Amino acid sequence: MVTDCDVCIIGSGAGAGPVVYTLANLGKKVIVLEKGGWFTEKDFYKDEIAVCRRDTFTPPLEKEPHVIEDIDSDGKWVAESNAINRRNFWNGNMVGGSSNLMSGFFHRMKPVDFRLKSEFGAVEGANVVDWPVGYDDLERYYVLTEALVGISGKVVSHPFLEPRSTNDFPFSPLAEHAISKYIDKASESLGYNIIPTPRAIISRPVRNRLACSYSGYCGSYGCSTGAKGSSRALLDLAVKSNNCEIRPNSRAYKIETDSSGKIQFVKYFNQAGKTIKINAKIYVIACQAVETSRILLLSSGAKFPNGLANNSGQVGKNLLFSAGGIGSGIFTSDQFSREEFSNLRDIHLFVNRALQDWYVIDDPKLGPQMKGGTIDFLMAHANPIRRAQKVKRKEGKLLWGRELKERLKEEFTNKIRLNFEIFCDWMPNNDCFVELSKSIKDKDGIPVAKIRVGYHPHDLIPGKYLAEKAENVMRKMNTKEIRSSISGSPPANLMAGGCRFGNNPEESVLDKNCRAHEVENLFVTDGSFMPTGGSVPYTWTIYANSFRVANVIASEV
Amino acid sequence: MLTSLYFVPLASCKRIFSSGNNQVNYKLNNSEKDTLHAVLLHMFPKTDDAPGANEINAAEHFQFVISDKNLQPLKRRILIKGIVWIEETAEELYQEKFIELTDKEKESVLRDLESYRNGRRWLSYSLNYILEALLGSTAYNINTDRVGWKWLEHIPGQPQPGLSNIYGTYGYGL
Ligand SMILES: Cc1cc2nc3c(=O)[nH]c(=O)nc-3n(C[C@H](O)[C@H](O)[C@H](O)COP(=O)(O)OP(=O)(O)OC[C@H]3O[C@@H](n4cnc5c(N)ncnc54)[C@H](O)[C@@H]3O)c2cc1C
Ligand code: SF4
Repeated sequence: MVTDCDVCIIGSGAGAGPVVYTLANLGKKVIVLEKGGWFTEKDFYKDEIAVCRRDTFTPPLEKEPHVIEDIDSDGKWVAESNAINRRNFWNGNMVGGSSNLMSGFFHRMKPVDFRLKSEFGAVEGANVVDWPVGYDDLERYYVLTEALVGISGKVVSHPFLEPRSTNDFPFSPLAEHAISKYIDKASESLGYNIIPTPRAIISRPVRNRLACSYSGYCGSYGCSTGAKGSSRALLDLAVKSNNCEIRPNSRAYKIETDSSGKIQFVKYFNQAGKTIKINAKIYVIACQAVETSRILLLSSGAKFPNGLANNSGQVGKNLLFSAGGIGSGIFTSDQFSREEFSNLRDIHLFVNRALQDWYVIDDPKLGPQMKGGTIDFLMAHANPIRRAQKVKRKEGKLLWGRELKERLKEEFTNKIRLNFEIFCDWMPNNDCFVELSKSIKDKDGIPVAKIRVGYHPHDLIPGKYLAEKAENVMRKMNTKEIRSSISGSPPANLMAGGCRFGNNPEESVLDKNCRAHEVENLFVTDGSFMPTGGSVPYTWTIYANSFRVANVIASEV
Repeated sequence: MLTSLYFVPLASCKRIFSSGNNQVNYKLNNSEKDTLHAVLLHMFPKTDDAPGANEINAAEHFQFVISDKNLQPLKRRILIKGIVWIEETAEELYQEKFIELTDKEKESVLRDLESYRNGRRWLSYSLNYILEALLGSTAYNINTDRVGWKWLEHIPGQPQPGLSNIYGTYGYGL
């Protein structure tokens, strides 16, 4: 059969970039369908109103909502459109996906993450399994990501340093914020092994990408130098090979199969709303976890009455987020000399400090060994409007007039806020999944995804344990107003699962190479494949796995 | 008690119609504008060291916000109707227009409004838009001459947008 291309890839974010890059560079003809627009470095501005306070890179929820199902105070599941509750689960719809907007805190998963069940046993009420591949299978792709996406950092020895085949990162660490040395000192005096956080941000120019210019704001914004390791770093190279065509504003909505269960073509809406069909030898879905499950569930056919690749009933199940939470504390100007305080107020440089001493917690107070996680330290985001909004209430009342102005002045000129973020495993469980909404449709009449966001109570145990350790560091630095919040509330920007990979077709959607067990010409390469997410922000693993799967696909077309 | 504060009728938006770009045509009339200016100035007065609502073009920004076609319909209705509620409250408490009231009386009107759910929402939204006008990108014709950033010693991220790249000119804001 004549096809439009060798491989059609739906979505263009972190899960897609490595596949697109690898295949195009091997001479395979690739077409990428991306629902959002195509922006480049010259289109990215540090405009808090456009980027963070209005829907510029994500669709308006009135037009493309999700239904969020959460438990209410009476313990009942309540489903509500997020056009009403405003809990936005879109992250970045544009060429390069949400990887354009990420902060780029990059940690590899560790060998223990791939064997969660065999290392720590089953947890009642959680669907924990081992991965069908191990750390060693991914290691060289972690290295490839360091080089091609661009990861800066410095390897230092610590108890949970994962095995590495190279000595150090290809990009040296970014310039550091003045606070970092205080964190080092406090951690060292507590006997903690403070480590530099690797970042998917390059510290020297490479190809057409400039080095980081420390332009401020960073996370949540597109990067105007190209230093940030978004998927576009790979897509740009793919396009240059002349084997890759990217079609922006192209929203796939149905994948059609023949009677044998093979995919025949994908249907998408172009910018004008017209339906276009495209056929390929192999199809790759990388729409980010929720939307990947949604399009599979929408794509029922003769052989798949419950959605494509879903005769096992597993599509959408075991959705993952990142467990843990956040904490903060403040410093005030009276704690430092005028010059030092002025240095500490800087909003351009990176703190880049992490603790992984409790990646496995071995503390009799908590019982047998359990999986712990990662603590990252960072300055509070510099977005000034959001910062100002935080002081607009006092004792439940709104503030305005002189009192508001005095508080603003105090907040901005007399305080520095240091945050920490905690990353633990989100236990896969039966109350965290995606299905199609029966009542709510998007602007084109297509059922939207309903996301049930239940968490497992176990998630809070390591989260709270780590928060105590992070607070110890804060206290040691004489930080004031130390607070932390560990909860089961899912951070929408770190989502995975829904199409877990595994060796048993009855319990997983994908095989160990991320090919659908039930559909010969279908692969899924975003974070959906992950049966557990590790205790780190996991985008580096999404990139690495996508490079791994790209080689399998390449061998078939 | 103001019964209208319980409801946010669609009728309050009867002057809205779409203009085809990312703006809807809803222009506050002169009397609404006067009220809005006075309220925003009360909420964010000019002080010796710092700009007030007028210096940062807060009222114009409010107009920009209610004209955004992507604004949630309920929010738009509350924003527009709130100006009417303020006048109704001023009338009920003092039988005067809001702009004629003393600072103390203005404060009582707004605190009275705050005791109603939708009134509180209006005040909270308006504070957000004042803070946007204080600290947002100057390309929106707010934060004039970076007066808000200068006052709070804030160094913005780079690059900053120009008029042709602000919200509404690209992406889903279109
Ligand atoms: C503000 C922010 C900060 C973050 N910081 C970090 C961090 O510090 N460290 C870290 O590891 N991770 C971070 N992340 C997470 C990281 O961005 C994601 O894990 C990663 O991008 C996921 O890759 P993906 O391919 O699954 O999804 P994406 O990168 O989002 O790509 C999915 C793409 O699919 C497109 N798409 C969806 N549906 C369709 C359809 N029907 N047809 C066509 N296209 C479609 C979307 O528009 C999107 O472009 C952050 C994310 C955000 C938003
Ligand atoms: S701080 Fe560096 S990586 Fe972040 S947006 Fe600016 S130039 Fe890009």
